[in-house]
Amino acid sequence: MEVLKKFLEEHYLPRRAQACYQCGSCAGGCPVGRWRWDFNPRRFIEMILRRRLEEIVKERTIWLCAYCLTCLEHCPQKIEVSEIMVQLKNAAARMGHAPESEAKKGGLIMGQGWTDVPAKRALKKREEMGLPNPAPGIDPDELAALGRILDWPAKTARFQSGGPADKEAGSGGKEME
Amino acid sequence: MTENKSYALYTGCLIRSRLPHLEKSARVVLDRLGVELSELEGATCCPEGVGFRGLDEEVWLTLAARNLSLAGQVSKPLMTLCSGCYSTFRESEHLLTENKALRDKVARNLESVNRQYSPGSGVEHFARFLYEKVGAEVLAGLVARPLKGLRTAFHYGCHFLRPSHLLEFDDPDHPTKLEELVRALGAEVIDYPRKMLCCGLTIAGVDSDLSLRMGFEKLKLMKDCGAQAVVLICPSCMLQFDLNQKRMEQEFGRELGLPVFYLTELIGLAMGETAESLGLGLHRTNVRPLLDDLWKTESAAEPPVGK
Repeated sequence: MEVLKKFLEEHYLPRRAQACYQCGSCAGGCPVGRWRWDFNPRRFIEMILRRRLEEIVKERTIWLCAYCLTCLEHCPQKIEVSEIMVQLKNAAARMGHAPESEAKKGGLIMGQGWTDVPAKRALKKREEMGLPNPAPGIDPDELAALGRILDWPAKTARFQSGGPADKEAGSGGKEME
Repeated sequence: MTENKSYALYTGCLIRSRLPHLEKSARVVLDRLGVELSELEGATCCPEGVGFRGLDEEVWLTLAARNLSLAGQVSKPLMTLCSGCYSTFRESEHLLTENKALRDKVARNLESVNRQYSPGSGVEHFARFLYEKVGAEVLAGLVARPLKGLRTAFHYGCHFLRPSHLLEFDDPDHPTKLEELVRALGAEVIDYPRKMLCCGLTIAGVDSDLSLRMGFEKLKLMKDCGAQAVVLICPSCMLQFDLNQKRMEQEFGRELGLPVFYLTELIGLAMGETAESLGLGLHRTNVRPLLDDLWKTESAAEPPVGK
């Protein structure tokens, strides 16, 4: 768990969470928490303070954070809860616990520069509407070079290497009723 | 509006590939206002600030810095049509300005592909531009066909207002500013509870049922408060509320039938553009019955002034 410990320190996570007195404003305003009792930003902050990072990164529920920033706005202690959530996801991805959908999105962006590129049909539609073709994007060679500099091939190989998660994040729609 | 009118347009992934009608209406309206747009060349995805940033923040920040630098090279502020792209650019801009260690690291990454980091020339969101640099009065002056009697609900979404200490545009819990623009077109804007809740789209990949539920609940609140249409300013929210509305209706057993308009679509219509010229046929929730109804009522009272 050396990697994780180092990550925790490098990103000053306990220090950034330290002022939390567990009032729950973050959880109270959370649009995801409205429907998923198991998504609770207050609890994630508590777990950081108790240095239980190893458990959090395996909880796929952290990936339910929509990064809507409501918690950031509402924290009376000005703790940047949403930013801490980003760091938790980063730690989880490094430990191999990224969800498939997000790992795939990463592959698309680093592979083609975009999450989505216009299909022929879309280009034709644009033409019919009198829109110019989209401007050319990044040169594929530059993107590949940038990927190598950023150690992307090794990183992406790790994103889902952590084996099955303790708890899958999905199927929340059913238990909300 | 006397300031800089020349922008580097950044449309983002969704509009480029799936929602050309949003770009169409934005171009029509901005052109009418005398704004010069040249699309940013050589760019990548902003990149996406939820899932992708969640994988690795340094990679996210490097690509964002590269896009900002491209805009810096052409010495034009970026004009974004998407609140997600706006968020990525504003937050990365902020991080790169505040944090020297991070900035140096990112600059080194870019140097190794022969790019020089530059902080860019500012970032603008089209809706903010319309409010701050154009204003309701000017828009009202362009109206050829008032949207009289149309009851709309405004959806601000998450990233246009938050974090408010950085973006400083409007009250993050009770915003009202953009609604003035809709009223300037002659339409009504209704109030509805929990106006600032997220549309839910960003978590569709992780929990699609929950994502749909979040979108449905919000549309239901708008509908129950008397809205006939939704107005919004972000292509992600557009996908959720327009494209996914049918699925929500099926999943939760209630018909909504709420047409969804991108702000510039509504402005375009009020300026006298037709639904055809704006490509509104690409909407999944049919806008036709509502518009027919609106024009019918209106044409009895006052005939539309030509474009």
